[in-house]
Amino acid sequence: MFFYVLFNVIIAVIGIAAVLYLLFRFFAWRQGDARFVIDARHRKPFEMKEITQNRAVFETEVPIHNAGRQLGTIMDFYPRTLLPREQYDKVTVQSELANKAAERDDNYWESVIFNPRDRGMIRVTITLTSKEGNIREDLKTFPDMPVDLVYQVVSRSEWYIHKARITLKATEVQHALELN
Amino acid sequence: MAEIEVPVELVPVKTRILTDKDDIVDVIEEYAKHVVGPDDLVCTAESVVAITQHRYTRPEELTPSWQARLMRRFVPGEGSMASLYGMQAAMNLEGEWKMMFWFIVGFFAKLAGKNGVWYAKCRQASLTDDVTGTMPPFDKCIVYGPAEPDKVAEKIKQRMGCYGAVVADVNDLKRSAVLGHSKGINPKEIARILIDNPFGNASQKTPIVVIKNYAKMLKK
Repeated sequence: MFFYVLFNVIIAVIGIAAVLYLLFRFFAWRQGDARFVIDARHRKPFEMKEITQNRAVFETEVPIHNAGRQLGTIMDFYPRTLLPREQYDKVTVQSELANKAAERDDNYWESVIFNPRDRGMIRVTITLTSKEGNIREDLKTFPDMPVDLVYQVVSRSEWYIHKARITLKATEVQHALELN
Repeated sequence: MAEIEVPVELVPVKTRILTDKDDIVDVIEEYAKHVVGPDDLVCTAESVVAITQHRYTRPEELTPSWQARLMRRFVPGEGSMASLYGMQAAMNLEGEWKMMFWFIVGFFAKLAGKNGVWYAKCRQASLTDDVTGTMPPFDKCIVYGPAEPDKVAEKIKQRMGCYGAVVADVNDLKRSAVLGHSKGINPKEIARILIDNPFGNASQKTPIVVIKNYAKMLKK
């Protein structure tokens, strides 16, 4: 009889714990989290901001918003250009990224909170410097260059790092050269 | 203690970015020596005191416990404790089980109409600032409350030869509290004076505020 009661108590405790856990999971699901969307498809076309004998500077702006149900923090955000020398070896590439709502000139990303449905804009600047000293000549054969936008998020859940990709297209570079 | 007539003269003192390599008392002497007189009261921002004491961590350095994963879901989103890492940071100092116990007690106390029990019993829950809580480069850090704020305030008073000193927690949301003070100071009165956040903790680099002629105003 004792073991029968003990067995039933154990089963009841396990059952209650399971129900509470499921309720918590449901609550957490309903509560949601931050969800950042880097809208690479709707970025502005790259524009040439400056050109000298050996250097060209391109710039674009990319929309970002928090599509989640909770606020979230973007702790870090940086660009990563992908132009291996096997593909193209005529320029050196520098890249910078800035939050348009909190402009800085030191390439430092200051952690920023996005409330649900908050929108923002990031500015990506690419500087191409000719190795031979003639950037106009070098850019005639410049290929499409992917740029990964890497960002670190922390919110109610664990921190994570995600990437979005934009591309500095050869056609954009050629078009900019024609205009300048 | 006498009621102070407003307006009082508050003098924010600009400094370089302070780090754990700095001693807050030395810094105050270096930057505020020319401003502080014997009748003045020196106020310093608690987050900066904590940083100089190396009381900060990064989310990447923390391993969240199941208690933190559970409890952060029941804290309003704007607070530092809603963040998994803010909660875990506070737990690392207070203890997971203690935080959970008082969280449950606080829940029932709230139902009975008494707010703030959890924050009162687990001080780090109210003192810990999540990421973005302070200026770069510590915007990516979780900053704890300062250690021994009364002692820090007393040291500042002794070194500066001023009327008194406080370590204060003030923000732009009109929340002001004195966490530590030298002997003979009324913390509530100072908290009221600092309510408009003269520190400007964002990027203004003014972690020291001097209340000029505070002693003289008390005598009046």
